[in-house]
Amino acid sequence: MTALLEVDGLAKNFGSVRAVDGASLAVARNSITALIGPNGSGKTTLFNLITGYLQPDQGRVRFGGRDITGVDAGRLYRRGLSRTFQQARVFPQLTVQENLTVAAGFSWRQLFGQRMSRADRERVGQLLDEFRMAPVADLFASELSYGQRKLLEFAAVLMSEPTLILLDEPTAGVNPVMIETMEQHIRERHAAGITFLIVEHDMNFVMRLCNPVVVLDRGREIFTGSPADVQTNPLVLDAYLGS
Amino acid sequence: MQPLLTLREVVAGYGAGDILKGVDLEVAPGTVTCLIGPNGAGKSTVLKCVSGLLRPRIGSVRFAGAEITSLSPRARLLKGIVHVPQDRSLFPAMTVADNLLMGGYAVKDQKAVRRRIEEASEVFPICKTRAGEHAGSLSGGEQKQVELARTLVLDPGLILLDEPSIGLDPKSRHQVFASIRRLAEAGRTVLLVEQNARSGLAASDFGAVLESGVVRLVDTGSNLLTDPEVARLYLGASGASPTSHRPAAAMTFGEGER
Repeated sequence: MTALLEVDGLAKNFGSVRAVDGASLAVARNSITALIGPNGSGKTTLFNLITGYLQPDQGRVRFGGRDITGVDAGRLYRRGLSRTFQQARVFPQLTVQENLTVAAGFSWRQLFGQRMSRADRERVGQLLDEFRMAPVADLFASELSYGQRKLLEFAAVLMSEPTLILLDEPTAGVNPVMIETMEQHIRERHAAGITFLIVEHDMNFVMRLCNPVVVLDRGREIFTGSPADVQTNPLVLDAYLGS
Repeated sequence: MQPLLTLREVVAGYGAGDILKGVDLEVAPGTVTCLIGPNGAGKSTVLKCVSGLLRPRIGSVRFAGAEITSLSPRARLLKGIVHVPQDRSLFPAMTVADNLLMGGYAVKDQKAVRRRIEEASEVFPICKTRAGEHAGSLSGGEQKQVELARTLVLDPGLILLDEPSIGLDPKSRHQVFASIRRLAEAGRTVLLVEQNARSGLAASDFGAVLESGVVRLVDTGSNLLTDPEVARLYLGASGASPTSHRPAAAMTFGEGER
């Protein structure tokens, strides 16, 4: 079976810096794949290239068998490829419920100021319940703690009923209780059939949740394998500890 | 031998969160100690607690036998603690010679400053050979050498170096670590934070591994280079089994948040 996401030889320069240098990887359908690598190895840039926030200088991206290289982020979102950001991006001046509502974005009627579809409204209610957010539904997102905002951002991307979610450091700046909650939500959505690609620095989180783990160094993948293989691979150790 | 620097159960952070969760660390006089650890472990925060840029919430910092936990950064500087930050800190539009003079700005005895600049130039010849050039025209590795030389103008008892090799090519990196060895040979005490763990440990007498805000391992630099536990601290516990899929009731939205 072909992979859900195929990245082939992506490259991106910023001035004279080659941030991504011919990176290739595949994300199998219904996997939780991790993307790790030392600081500055190009993980977030690769995310930005895959999700249409940046245009690659070279290489192709295929999603569900279709070439999506250079397709803009909004279109990808509607096709079922969503992402979160290292610094949670929610609308601080909107309430929790409104943040979910604007993430629906499917119905053309909304463009004309009409009310959202019944299906979207039901989905908002359902996500509020599932994420235990009903009691804070009317709070502004700015009133939430940082961890809660990250969880809200995660809930919001689910509004598009994505098949693939890219999470950029879901546990960064989040307390241990919230990390567990985040992990449980990922596991539940994974069990429901969603595929994940996760950039994360918390190695214990990665090693217990993800398989396979793709290791990036200096803009290209140097190893892909199970957590146990990654932890003992000399190339990976060189990348992390220096050589 | 009495340690020159002692951190005891230091808890510190920014805003609501704690980055350091009880750090214990000792630095012996005349040695180079390298602090390594994964991203976000709190390495730079340790240096800030020593130089006074950040006050610990709990715990104590002792230097040369005296409690310095509540001293200002300036007071600590005058006690001989010099902090070289991660970013380039030379004044790019000033000459190398003027940058060295600026290093002694806080010192009253300017005669001593000039004498120390002479001494520093002997350890770091670049201070003489490139004295009249703008610091900004030097390569990253050369600038780092001038930064190291500039610390000597304060006759430091303790030199703190934050990621001295970051952004340098392998050759310059090698030069920087050689320079750090020269500081040690000149009798200086150095505590450095380094992302390139192997290069840092190789240049150091002692090493400490910080992980999640706690010092997990302390040993000689050469022992840590071959200790498999170091890799575990960087890449997570091996054989970690997936935690069981817990019922939704275990999930929270608000509880436990601060």
